[in-house]
Amino acid sequence: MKVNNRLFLSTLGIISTIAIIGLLFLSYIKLDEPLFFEHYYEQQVTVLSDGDLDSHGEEFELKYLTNAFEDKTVIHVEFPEEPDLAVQASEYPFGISPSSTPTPEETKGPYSVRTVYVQPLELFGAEQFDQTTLTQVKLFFSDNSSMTVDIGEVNFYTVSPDQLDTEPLNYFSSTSTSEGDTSHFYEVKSEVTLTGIHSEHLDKYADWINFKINDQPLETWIGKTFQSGETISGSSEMVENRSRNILDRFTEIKLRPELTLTDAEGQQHTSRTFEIEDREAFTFFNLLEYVKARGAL
Amino acid sequence: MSAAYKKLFWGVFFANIQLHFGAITILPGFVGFLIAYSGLSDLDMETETASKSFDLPQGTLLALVILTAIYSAFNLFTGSQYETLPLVAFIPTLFSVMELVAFHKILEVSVTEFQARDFIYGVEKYSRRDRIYILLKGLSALLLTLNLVFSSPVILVAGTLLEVAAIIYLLVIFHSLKKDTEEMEIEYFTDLY
Repeated sequence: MKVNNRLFLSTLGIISTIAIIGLLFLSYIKLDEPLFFEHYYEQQVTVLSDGDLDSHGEEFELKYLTNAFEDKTVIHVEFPEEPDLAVQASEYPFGISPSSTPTPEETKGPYSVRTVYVQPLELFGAEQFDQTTLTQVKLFFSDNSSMTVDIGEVNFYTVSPDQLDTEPLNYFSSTSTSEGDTSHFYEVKSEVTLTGIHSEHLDKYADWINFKINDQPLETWIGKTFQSGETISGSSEMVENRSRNILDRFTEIKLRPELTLTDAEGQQHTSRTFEIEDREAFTFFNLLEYVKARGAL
Repeated sequence: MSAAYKKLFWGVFFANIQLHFGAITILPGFVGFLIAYSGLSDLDMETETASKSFDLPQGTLLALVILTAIYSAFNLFTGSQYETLPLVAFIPTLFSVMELVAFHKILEVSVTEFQARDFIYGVEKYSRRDRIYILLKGLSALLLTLNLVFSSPVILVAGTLLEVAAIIYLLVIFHSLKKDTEEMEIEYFTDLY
């Protein structure tokens, strides 16, 4: 029985020590306030003929990190740089009743990654949305507190329904993986030559993203002509991100580079590519590393 | 004694296997601990060795009845929204440790009782089983505590499997104790007459 008692007391001692250390550690790594990730988005907004925004399906997401036990949620946002921009914001995807679903969040130990869904509703002078860049957001929480944070850069571009109809490429299918790799397939409506590529952020992330057309790097297609009826595939693949620093790895990227296509008559058309996304798989350890790198401990 | 071990068996069973009817829990965990407490009181009356040995497991089981009842009621009214609060998150660890204390002490007293009755086979058998139970329950509590901090699926799965193994093993022990004490009691009465 002595052996059993020694084993019992040692087990109790180890569990108590681990529990106390664990509790102290959790108190130490607790966040004082939410940490917003950096976002680099090229965000489409469709402006209807009457100047209103067709915001249906054109929402964007702002992600942040907070304590898993935090019960305050973001209920409204404003953008100090664009006070005339009216948006609706919620931590619930639009169309889902808050009472029927818990806040969609990804909980990893003491931390949870949450998403604020932002849907542009109205902007006075919406035709100027093309020049709009948002770098800061003022958040209003359910406990009546508010805070203003940097969010990276959300660059808007506008399209009109007519413009979408006259684009020289006709999208017809796509595939994607959970790692963020995507392939999209288009049919060329009429003969066009690729004469330019423009993106606010693509150069910055060129090392991270293998962006290809028909399995060849995008730049090699400049000056090349696509024939009418030809099927082209566009693919984006994220390169292994372990070599990137932790702050870069948690940067949310959603890019849609603009292709300039010139037809046989010399007329220029612009067409946005599919969305290029970078997703990081969250774990407790990489979230802790991120919190440390942000100096929030 | 065998009737007391039977109660302890069903106590452990209902403390860990809960029946739900929709949103209502028909037999919440504290009912199981209450059955186990009642079994332990019966055992206390039927053993020949010092009754003080039962003070710790009895006190621990009574505390488990009260605390698990409060915890169930708290969760019923607040949902699971506070389960991630650091202090609240460690409550299941506390319950696990209390279970370990109560059931190890019951096994320890049972072995002492077998010693007093010269049931040598039982002494060796249940000392060994007590040791294995401490290892299974202790390791599962340790892993599930570590999981509260690190939230690792590997630790969670390993801890949960060990927890299930510890529960099943304890059920096997009480079932076996019931059988062995039945035989012991028959032998005792046969010798008497």
